[in-house]
Amino acid sequence: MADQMRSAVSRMLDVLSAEQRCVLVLTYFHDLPYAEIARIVDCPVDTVKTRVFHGRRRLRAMLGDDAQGRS
Amino acid sequence: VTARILSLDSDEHRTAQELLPWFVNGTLSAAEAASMENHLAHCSRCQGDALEQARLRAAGADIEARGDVDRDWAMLRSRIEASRHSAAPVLANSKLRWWKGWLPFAVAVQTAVLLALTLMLVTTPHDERYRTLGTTPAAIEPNAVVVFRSDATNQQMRDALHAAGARIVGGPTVADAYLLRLTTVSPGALAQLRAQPSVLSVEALQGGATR
Repeated sequence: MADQMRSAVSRMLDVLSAEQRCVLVLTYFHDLPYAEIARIVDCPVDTVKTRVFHGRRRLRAMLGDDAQGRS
Repeated sequence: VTARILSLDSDEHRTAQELLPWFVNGTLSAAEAASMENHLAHCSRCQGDALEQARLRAAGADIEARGDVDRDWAMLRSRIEASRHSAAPVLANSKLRWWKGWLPFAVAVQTAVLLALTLMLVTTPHDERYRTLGTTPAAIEPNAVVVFRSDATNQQMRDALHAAGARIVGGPTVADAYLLRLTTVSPGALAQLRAQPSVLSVEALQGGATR
């Protein structure tokens, strides 16, 4: 199950835009605070939050589709 | 028992949704974390999202994410640079910016100098005559010829020429005659020259010999 989740996440990250993928990876896989991410990608904090929010939603949708496809 | 009913569209819920990823990764400030805990205590939707994101985070821990980040960051940098260049084609180098400010002035000065040089070239008179190094001034036309005595000294010859106001312009010829240019070719002038003791004969070239 964990392997499936891992491969699904890896595959779905490639579908996201570069901006969304970057902030998601920095948030979830590098555990960086949003202020630090904003500094790294040179954009406002609110933009970071918005990108993560929409990226998360797309991931959730894709994971849902993926789960339905497997069942 | 107290219960709170929160709308999913409320500001508190929206803020919690935005901050949830950083609540999960544990980087929120103490105040933000406390606020999130209060919200999570009664929001089942955010509780579910928090669990989902915790799984996502756990899954991503094994993914070689560093390479992805580097690639994404490189892409973002290239996009940022491209947008900067397209938005305003500014010169990045300060020296070039300085030169750009002075460029119109420099071009104007160069144009003015070129115009001045062209005007000078056009208005300056030119001597069109063709000259060679071998060209000599026009020869002085002799108007008399004199033959000095064979025993006359140089000093006597010079005295005779000074007295008559004459100068040698040619000679000596094969007959030892000298061509003279007299100020005036008059009988008096010729007679004066002829009276000199060093002079053997004098002849006016236009009038013929008079001795």
